[in-house]
Amino acid sequence: MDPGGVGGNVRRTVHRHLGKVVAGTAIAVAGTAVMVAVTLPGTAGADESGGTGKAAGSAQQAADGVGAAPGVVQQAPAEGEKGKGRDPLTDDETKRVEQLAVNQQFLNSSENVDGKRGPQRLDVELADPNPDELDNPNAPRRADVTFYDYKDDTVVTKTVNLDTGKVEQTGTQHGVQPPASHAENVEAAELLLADPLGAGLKADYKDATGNELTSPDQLLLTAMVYKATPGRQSGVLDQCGEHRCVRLFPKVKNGPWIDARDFVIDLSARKVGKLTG
Amino acid sequence: MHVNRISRARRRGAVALTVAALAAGATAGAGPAVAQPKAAPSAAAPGCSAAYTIEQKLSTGTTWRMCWHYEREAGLVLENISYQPPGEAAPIKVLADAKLAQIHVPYDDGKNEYSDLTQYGFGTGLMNMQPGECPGGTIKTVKVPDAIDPAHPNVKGLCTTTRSRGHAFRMQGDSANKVFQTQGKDFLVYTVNQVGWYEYITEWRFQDDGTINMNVGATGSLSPYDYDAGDGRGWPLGKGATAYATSHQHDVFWKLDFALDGSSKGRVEQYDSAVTTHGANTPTNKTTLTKVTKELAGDAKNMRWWRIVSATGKNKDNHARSYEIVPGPTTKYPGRSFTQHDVYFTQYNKCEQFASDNLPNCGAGHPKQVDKWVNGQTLTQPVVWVNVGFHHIARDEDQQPMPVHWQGFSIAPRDVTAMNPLTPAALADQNGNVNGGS
Repeated sequence: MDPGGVGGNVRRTVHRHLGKVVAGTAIAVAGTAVMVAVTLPGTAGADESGGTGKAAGSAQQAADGVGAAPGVVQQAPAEGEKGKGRDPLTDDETKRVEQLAVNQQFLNSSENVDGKRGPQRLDVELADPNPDELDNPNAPRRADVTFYDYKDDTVVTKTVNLDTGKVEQTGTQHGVQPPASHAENVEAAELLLADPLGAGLKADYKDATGNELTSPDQLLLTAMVYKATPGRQSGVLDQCGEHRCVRLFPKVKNGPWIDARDFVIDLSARKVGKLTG
Repeated sequence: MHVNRISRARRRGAVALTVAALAAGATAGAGPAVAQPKAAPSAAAPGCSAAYTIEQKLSTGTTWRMCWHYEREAGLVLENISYQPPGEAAPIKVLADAKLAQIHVPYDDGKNEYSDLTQYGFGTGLMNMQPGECPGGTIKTVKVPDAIDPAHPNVKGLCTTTRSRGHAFRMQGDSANKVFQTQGKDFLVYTVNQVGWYEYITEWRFQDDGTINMNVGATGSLSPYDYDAGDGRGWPLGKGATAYATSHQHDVFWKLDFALDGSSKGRVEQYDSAVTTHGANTPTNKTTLTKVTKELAGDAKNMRWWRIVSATGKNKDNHARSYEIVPGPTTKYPGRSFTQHDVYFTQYNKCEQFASDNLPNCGAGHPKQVDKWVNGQTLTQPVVWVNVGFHHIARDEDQQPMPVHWQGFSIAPRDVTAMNPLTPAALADQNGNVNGGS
C-alpha cells in the first residue's frame, strides 16, 4: 500500500481529469476515459505547485512527540490448531469449517466466479453466541462461513459448530450482496480489461507508469458492490443487485489510484457496463 | 470546620460535572504522556487466550482488559471489556461485544451512496502503521481476512497506547497549599482502515475513570474525482471558483452489546428533564424516568439521556451499576430511514450485525436495517446501536492530506463505583452527606 502516510515524506499529487473541471493544481489529459490521480514521492521539503510548500519538519515532529518512543511492533501470535473462547479463528479452523460446509452435493451443484464447479468462498468469521449463551463464558465456538453461488445468484451461509463439527444452520439468500472477495475483484478486473470499456483504465495505467497494463496482478484491487438504482445505469446493468456486480477501485501497486467508478462489472452475467446517471 | 466541609462537598459535585463534560467532548488532545504499556498481559481476560487479550493498567491504578479479533466487514471487534478501578477486587465487566456497525456515505449530488462496511469490506483495508503513529505503544500484527494485498495478509495495524488527558479532577484542600488533583490517563486502542481514498481511524479510548469514548476520524484524501463546479453541491477548493469538492455525509454506527457485571439482561432507562418558568421566580426543573421495556428508536433531545442498568450488580453504596450514553455532536441525515434516529435499542439477535444493508441470514422477510428491527419486541437482552452523523462540506484546509474530522460518543459510568474511582485516600470517607445529615 501507499507508504507515504503521516509525517516523513512529502507527496506530490497530480490530478488528471477528462471532461470535468479539475482541481487547482491539476492538469487535464485528453484521450482517456477514466481519470487518474498520481501520487509521487517527493523529496523532503519539495514544494508543491499551487500548494503551501511547507514540508513536515522533522524538528517539529520531534518536539511534538517528546517523551514518547515510537510504537513497538508485535508479530502475529503463533497459532495453535484450535482457538480458545473468543480467539480469532485459526487457519486450521478456517480450513476445517470450509471442508465441513461444502459437502459433495453443494460442491457439485454450485459455481464460482470463474464458472467452475464449487461455490465462491467469501468469508469465514467467528460467530456470535446464541441468545441463551450470551452470559456463558464457555459457549461453544462456532464459525459463520459465507459463499456465493454463481449458478443461481445466491448467498449461502452456514454456521459450523467447531466443538462438534456439525453444520448447525444453513441459509440461502437472493438479492444480498456481501463485499467482493479478492478472487472476484481479480475476475472483475480481467473482464474490464478484456472489454472495450477497459481502454481508459489501460491508458491511464500507461500514463501513470509508462508500462502496459496486461494483468490484474499489476493493480491493488478493491471494490464497492453495486446495486442498480433507477436512472443510474443502462439496461445492461439493470439486474445488478440480483446479479453480483462491482465497481473497482484500482490502484497501481506503489502508485496512484485510477478512477474506474463509472464502470460496473456484472460478475454474474460476465458483462461490463457504464453508468449513465 | 462545618462550613468548610459543606463547601468541600459542593466543590466535589462540581468536579464530577466537569469530568462528565470532558467525557462528552474528548476526542483528541494528546498530551506529552510517557506511555508504558505492558506487552504481556498478566492474566488472560475471561473468554480468550493471552495472545488475544489486551490489558493495560494505567498509572492512576485503573486496569482495562478485553479480547480482540478482526472481521472482514466490521474490522476490529473488542469483546469482554472489563474495567477495574483502584479499590475494586475484581474486574467489572462492561461490554460483551463492541464494534462498528456501518459507515454510510451518501454524496450530496445523489450520485454515490456507499456502505463502507458491507459494500467495500471495511476490514480488508487495514493499513500498516508506522511506529511513530503509535507513540509509546505497541503495534499488534493482525491477520486480515481476505486482505487487499494477498501477498501481505499480516498487517501491523492495531495500536494500543496510553495518553494523558489533563485533569481528572482538582479540589482545593483546607489549607492554601493543599490541592487534590490527578492528571487523568487514557488507554487507546485504534486502527487505520482505508476505504478508497479515505482513511478512517477507529479509536476506542478507555479512561481511568471508567468512561469509554468511541470515535471515528476520517482523513486521507477527499475523493479526487468528485469535483464539479456546476451543480452547486460543493465548495471551491482550488484557486477561484472552479474545483468544487462534492459535499457528503458520513453516518457512523456503533453496535454495543452491554454485559454489565457479566449479564446481558440489563435494563434500559430514559431520562427527560423539563424546565418550567414561574414568571419572575426561579425556574424549576423536573427529571422523569421512562423505562424502555420494548425496542425503541430513540431521538436525542435537549435534557434527554439513556442508561443501561446492570441486572445483577450493585456498587458498595447498594446502587445498581449503570452506564450512561453520552451523545456526541451529530448531524442527523434525513435521507434514509435508518439514519433518522440517534440510538436504537433492539432485542439481541445474532444475525443482526449491520445497521443497514445487513448481510447475515435472519430468515425470509426479515428486514435489512436497524430501524425496521424496532417492532415492539420486549427488551430482555438489549443491543444498543448509536448513529453519529457528520456532514462534510469540504474547505480549503482539507487538502492535503485532509485533517482528521472526528465523530463519536461516549459511555460513562453512573454508580459503577460508590465514589469517584480515583478518590485520593485522604478523601475516601467523604461519600454521601458528609455533614452528618444536616
